Amino acid sequence: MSAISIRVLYFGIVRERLGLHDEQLQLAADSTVAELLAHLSHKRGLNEAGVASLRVAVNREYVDNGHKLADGDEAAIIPPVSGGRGQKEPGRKESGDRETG
Amino acid sequence: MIEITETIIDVAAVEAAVGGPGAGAVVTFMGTTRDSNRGRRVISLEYEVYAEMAVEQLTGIADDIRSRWPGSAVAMVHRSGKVEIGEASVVIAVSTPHRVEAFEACRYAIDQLKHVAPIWKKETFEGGEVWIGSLADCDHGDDQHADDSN
Repeated sequence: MSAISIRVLYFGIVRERLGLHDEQLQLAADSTVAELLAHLSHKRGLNEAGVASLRVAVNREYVDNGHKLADGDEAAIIPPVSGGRGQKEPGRKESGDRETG
Repeated sequence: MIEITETIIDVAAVEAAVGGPGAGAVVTFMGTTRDSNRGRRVISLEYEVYAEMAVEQLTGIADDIRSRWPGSAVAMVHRSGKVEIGEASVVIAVSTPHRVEAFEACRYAIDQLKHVAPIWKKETFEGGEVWIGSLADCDHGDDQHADDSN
């Protein structure tokens, strides 16, 4: 398979800045979340500092940047959530977080 | 009871959802919307919620609490959309057999919610608007460390 199709969801400040709630994207097979972010950064003009503060959820679970995307995935771009004080440092990996959930 | 709602939260209903013969204590946390943040007068607040994921994340937190604090019950309701000043944006009720655990588990619930729930808050204040949390590349300086409204 040479390409995969995924649905990308945007929220909050990213949705507002892009003027877009969701879109269908074609990516190379075996693309990672990091490659998705690089693609969005390039195509949509989000700068590095902005991208570093984003988290990504695939099929409603947080994943880290090395996660491989599959055809039909729903990838949500998650800007920092509303809880100011308990917030993560930008760019911190999230892979262990859902152990508690 | 795990819900995202666009209407005023019925606090008594959230508390009733965790009641039962094994409950010796119920602790309720209610986060309410303030009329000021960092010296600015807030006119209105709006929450955007990725509802399907938020419900799954909150369900995960509730499952976690039930395993950490045996005999506990948890209910969580969060608002979506516009919330008037003074209204509850989030209500969490936890019951446990004894009071110490009820306080601990309720604190844990709100902290976890703030950490993982895909919920964003936009404040409209006199002279502008801002997403709380915000992105590093479009912050209005001090907003990145804006206080929690709750």
